[in-house]
Amino acid sequence: MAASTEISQLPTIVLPGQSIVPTTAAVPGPGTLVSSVTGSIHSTILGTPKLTTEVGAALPKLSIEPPSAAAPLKLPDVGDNVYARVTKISRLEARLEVLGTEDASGGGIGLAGGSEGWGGVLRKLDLRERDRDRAEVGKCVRVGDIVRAKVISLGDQSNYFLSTAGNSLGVVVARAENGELMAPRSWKDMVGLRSGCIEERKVAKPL
Amino acid sequence: MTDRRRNNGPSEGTLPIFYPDEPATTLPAPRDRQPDELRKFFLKTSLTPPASGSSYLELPSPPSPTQQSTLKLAVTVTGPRPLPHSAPFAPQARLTTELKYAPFAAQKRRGYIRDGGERELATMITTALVRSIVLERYPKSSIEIMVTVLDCEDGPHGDVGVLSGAITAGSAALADAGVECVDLVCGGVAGLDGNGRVVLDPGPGECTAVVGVGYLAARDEMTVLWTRGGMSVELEEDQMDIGGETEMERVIQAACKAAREVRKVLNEAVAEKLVVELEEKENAMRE
Repeated sequence: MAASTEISQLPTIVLPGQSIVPTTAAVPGPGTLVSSVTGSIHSTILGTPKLTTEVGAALPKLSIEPPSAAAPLKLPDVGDNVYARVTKISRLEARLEVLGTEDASGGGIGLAGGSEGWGGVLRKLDLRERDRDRAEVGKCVRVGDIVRAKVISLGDQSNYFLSTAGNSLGVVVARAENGELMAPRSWKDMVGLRSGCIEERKVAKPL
Repeated sequence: MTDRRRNNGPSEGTLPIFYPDEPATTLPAPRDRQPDELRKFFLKTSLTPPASGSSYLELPSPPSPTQQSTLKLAVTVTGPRPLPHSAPFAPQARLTTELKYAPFAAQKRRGYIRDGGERELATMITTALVRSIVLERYPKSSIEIMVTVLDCEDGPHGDVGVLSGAITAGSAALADAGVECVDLVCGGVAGLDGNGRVVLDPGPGECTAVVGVGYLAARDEMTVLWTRGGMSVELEEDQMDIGGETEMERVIQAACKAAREVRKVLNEAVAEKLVVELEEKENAMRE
């Protein structure tokens, strides 16, 4: 009930620095900040405010939707799922290029700065959950594969540390040696769509 | 096949601008506005497509281009993007600003290499804008602001106007890029004219002393302060007991007032993009 009365009061457009609701009415979500000056929730970007009530939450969450023309500027955070392309593999680790972060609904969204090379490192021990010291990089990912991975650390100056340990994480899109697309066959191998060739991968459980 | 070794001029040719031998700065135009009246200005965002965000600011042109000049600024924001490999890990974003006068910006031609004055202005713009950005939301990334001054006011205090305009346009470009900010920053200028009267947004050669500020209107905070010329910092005798303000404080207050006026235009310019988008969506729904 309280949420519906607040919704009627929300402005259509908010600007950075605009006070929207007091902290007693909502919790801050993406695009908002609790101001140290007034103690209310402020917008930090241009957009339209939206209140969403999650199941079991006492207060609705206030988030700001940016204009559709603007590229969403969401950088990966620890715990986020990201999509990344493998660019280089070695015995100890795979190097990846982070393409985008996955939002709560499971859809990938674009990354700030486009393809300007947010790097990721997938170390051998983070490839899978079980029997991790026997995992081999070349049998889990190949160059060109697209993987869904979890950010486990902000890493060093240019690379995020990623992990594919988990059922829902691993290779999502891959091409076989002859260039044809492959489909998942089991958690550890994929099958070519035309020739039926089988290659080893750490496969993500299809959504 | 085009000739790529030589820098050939445009095929149609252009006419060079000739200025009179006597520079106009000796003859400041009389003020035709109220002391607290600002000049109208034009501000628009998203005019440079490849940049993450951009804005363009322009003051109205004077009746005669040879007599005095106006202000034209183009600001682009790039990023947030990864730091170069040589940079160490940083938990916050790094903001860098570059400012360049176009060679034709003032009556005296500028060089192609940045000089000290341009670097000093860039540092002040960084100080003014960095306080408004929520830097923690962008770990190990860099945000770059590039200010190009296409036309500027001549005269002893012209660069204070450039600073104020660049702060306003820079904040609009940051908001256009979707960079998270605690507030929009506005630039405001006020000055003392020859009779010791406080005037807002002085034109070229109008004032003996000027103050430029970067101001967060929603939080009532100042992010940068630049004073030029002589102002009294001591209370006059009759003001001592009643808690009056010194001359300098009055000018600073006036500059903040000018910034609050600028904020109205800045708000509309930043929101314009979304207003247009919502209108289009509404029209599409109706059809």
